[in-house]
Amino acid sequence: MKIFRNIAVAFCLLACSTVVAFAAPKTIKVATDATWPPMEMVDTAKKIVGYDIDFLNAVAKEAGIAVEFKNTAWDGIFAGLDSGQYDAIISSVTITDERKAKYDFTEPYTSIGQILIVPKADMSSRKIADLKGKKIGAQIGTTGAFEVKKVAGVELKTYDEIGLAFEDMAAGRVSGVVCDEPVAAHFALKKQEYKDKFKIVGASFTKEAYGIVVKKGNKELLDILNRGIKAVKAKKLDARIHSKWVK
Amino acid sequence: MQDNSSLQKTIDIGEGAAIPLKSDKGLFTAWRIAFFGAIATCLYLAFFRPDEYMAIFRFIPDGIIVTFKVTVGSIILALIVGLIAGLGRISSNRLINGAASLYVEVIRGIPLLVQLFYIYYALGRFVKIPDMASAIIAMAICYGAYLGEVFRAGIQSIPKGQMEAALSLGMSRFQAMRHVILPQAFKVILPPVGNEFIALLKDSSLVSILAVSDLLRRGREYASETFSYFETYTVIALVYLILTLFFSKLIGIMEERLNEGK
Amino acid sequence: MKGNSEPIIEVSGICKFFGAFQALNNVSFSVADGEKVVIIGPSGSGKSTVLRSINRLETIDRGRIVVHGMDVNDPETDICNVREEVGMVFQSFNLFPHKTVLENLMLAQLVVRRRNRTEAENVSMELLRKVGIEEKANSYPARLSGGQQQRVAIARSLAMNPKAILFDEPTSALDPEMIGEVLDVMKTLAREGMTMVVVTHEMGFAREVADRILFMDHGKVIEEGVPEHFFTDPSHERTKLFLSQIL
Ligand SMILES: Nc1ncnc2c1ncn2[C@@H]1O[C@H](COP(=O)(O)OP(=O)(O)O)[C@@H](O)[C@H]1O
Ligand SMILES: [Mg+2]
Repeated sequence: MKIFRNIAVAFCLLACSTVVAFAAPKTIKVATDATWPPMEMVDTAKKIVGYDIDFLNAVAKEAGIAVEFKNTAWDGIFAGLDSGQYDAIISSVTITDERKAKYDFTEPYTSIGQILIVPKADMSSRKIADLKGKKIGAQIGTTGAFEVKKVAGVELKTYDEIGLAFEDMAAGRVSGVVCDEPVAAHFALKKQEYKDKFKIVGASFTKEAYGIVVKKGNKELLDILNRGIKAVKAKKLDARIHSKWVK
Repeated sequence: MQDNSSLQKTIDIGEGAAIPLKSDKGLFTAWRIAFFGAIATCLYLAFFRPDEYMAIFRFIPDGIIVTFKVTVGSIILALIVGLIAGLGRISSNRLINGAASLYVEVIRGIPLLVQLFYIYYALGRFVKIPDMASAIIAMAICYGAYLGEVFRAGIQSIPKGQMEAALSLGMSRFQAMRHVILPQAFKVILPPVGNEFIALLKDSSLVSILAVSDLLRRGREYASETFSYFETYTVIALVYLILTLFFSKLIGIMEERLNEGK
Repeated sequence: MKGNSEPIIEVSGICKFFGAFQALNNVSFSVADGEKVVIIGPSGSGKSTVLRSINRLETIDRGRIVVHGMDVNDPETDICNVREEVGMVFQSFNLFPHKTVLENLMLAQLVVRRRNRTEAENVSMELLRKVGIEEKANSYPARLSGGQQQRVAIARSLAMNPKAILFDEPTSALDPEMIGEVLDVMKTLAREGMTMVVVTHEMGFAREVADRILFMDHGKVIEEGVPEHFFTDPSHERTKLFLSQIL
């Protein structure tokens, strides 16, 4: 009985704290899946860093709010927003019609495209369709995964983290990986252990834009964020952040 | 060497589902309610709420097959590994005994999830094995350690006189194991092995983190694309429930058969 | 009687320790072809240990045992060869409960003697007839009385055509009314010339069947002699005391 009471109390406290967080949007909680370098990742000091982090911090500064980041697994990151565990998501989220139907997005803050990475030894594949009959890896629930699924004849293999897809390609279990351009560049061009094994082929084949996600109808927060984004763009801070993390 | 009190315990525990035997009335009724209830719920969802659910039921069947393959493949391989480990644990050869004990200790000391990651990606570093095979090997190595203890306990539960009688007839240790001890031990270990099988079926959902497209992974893929988390995981949970209940029933029937045969 | 020929079993100066406890202390005796040796003595005196040493169910720490020309404890000796030649009958029968009576008799013939099934079955049925339980051939041991089980166990030993059989208190686990039927089988074997080493408390049997009696106490053979002399005029006080208690 005592245990139940304790649990009940704990739940109340939890609920209260969530309510408080909503009521005073001075500090907003933002989820990010920090396995998507260089956009969001955990550095050696266990800090969440990356393009999105710098960008949102700049936005917050312009908008006069504070941000607390929460590292969250990608599959389920939207469910956490539904259940109010945080107020927003900044995690290289591509603005899609399906997502827009359920969530609200800020103005786009950067554009990217999907791109294919294959082992260096593969001399013939230039696009997904060239890998018919083979497996291609992508992170679960990403636009990269959706693109692979669209192509008949290739088998999609989904990973919790994009790094695991690259590791599996190194082990020969998949023949290609599809992900966002900057992430591809990080794994195939920068990372020591993969530099000699993988290469990027072809050009990016989608036109996508990232946006920050908030709960449908959370107009207050959306306005704050959009105001901040506008200011950041006006001051060209985003270009500086871009050159810091990408290339 | 023999510690009878602890073996009795090893034989009794199981982390699988409760196996419904006819003799246990309450559990038997509960089994029926849960099993047919789960099936009825699935049918209801598929036919009366087709907008939300039909697409999920269409999306997951290949995941069920993968889950089934992983489970059956792992238990078969784990039985072989477990038999070797169990025999090693009762070997009088100190090297073999030490190796088997070390294996069991190490494996039992590491969480299954960590082992799966480790074996899967470690295997990938050195040999090119397809993903499902790697997952099965990883599961079998983990469960082999648990089954090894079941085998050891089962073998040690056979009275010493059986081995002595077989040996004094001129049989080798191997022949005695094969013809006299193991067939008797089999009856003793069937219930705990059944339990391990059910536990393995449930734990097979962990291979979804290895990007093996099992039932859970299919569900997660569906949910992450459609955002219908509640509906998807409702279905996934129901399907797992039906699977485990189905197999625990099957094992229950096997046990009853075996007891009747005595 | 037949003591002149080459001994089947030759036990010389054996010692056996269980940890610090000495179970056998310099035990020597030999058993000639066709000879019946009965070992008597109080419980814990080492009788079973002697028998079990002969087919190496126990390994001795000192001394030497030669069976049918094979040194039992020589690492070069294949112990299975020794055990094929020396049958053993246990106090607790030790029939294989998962096999029928017939299968109990056939198993070692098939896997050790490599007889074909028909031959093994013929031998087995013949022996079951001999011990008087052929009608139980297809029953499981659990369905048999203790006396019947022990007769099956004797038949199982005989099926290997051993040169000698060791009996370790074959009637001690039996209800009194069943002792006779087992002793009768053993007497028949004795008449047929089987070499036997029998540990027993059945003094009537010993007097009737034994060519020689060994009396053991505290791991030593204290007295050895022919029955007439042994029962009527034992030379040791310890033997006298034991006989007075048991008779
Ligand atoms: N495996 C064993 N471990 C320790 N002591 C034993 C073992 N087997 C027998 N003993 C001891 O050795 C002595 C002789 O045993 P045993 O040969 O069985 O006597 P008997 O058959 O004459 O009754 C006993 O004191 C017994 O307790
Ligand atoms: Mg004894």
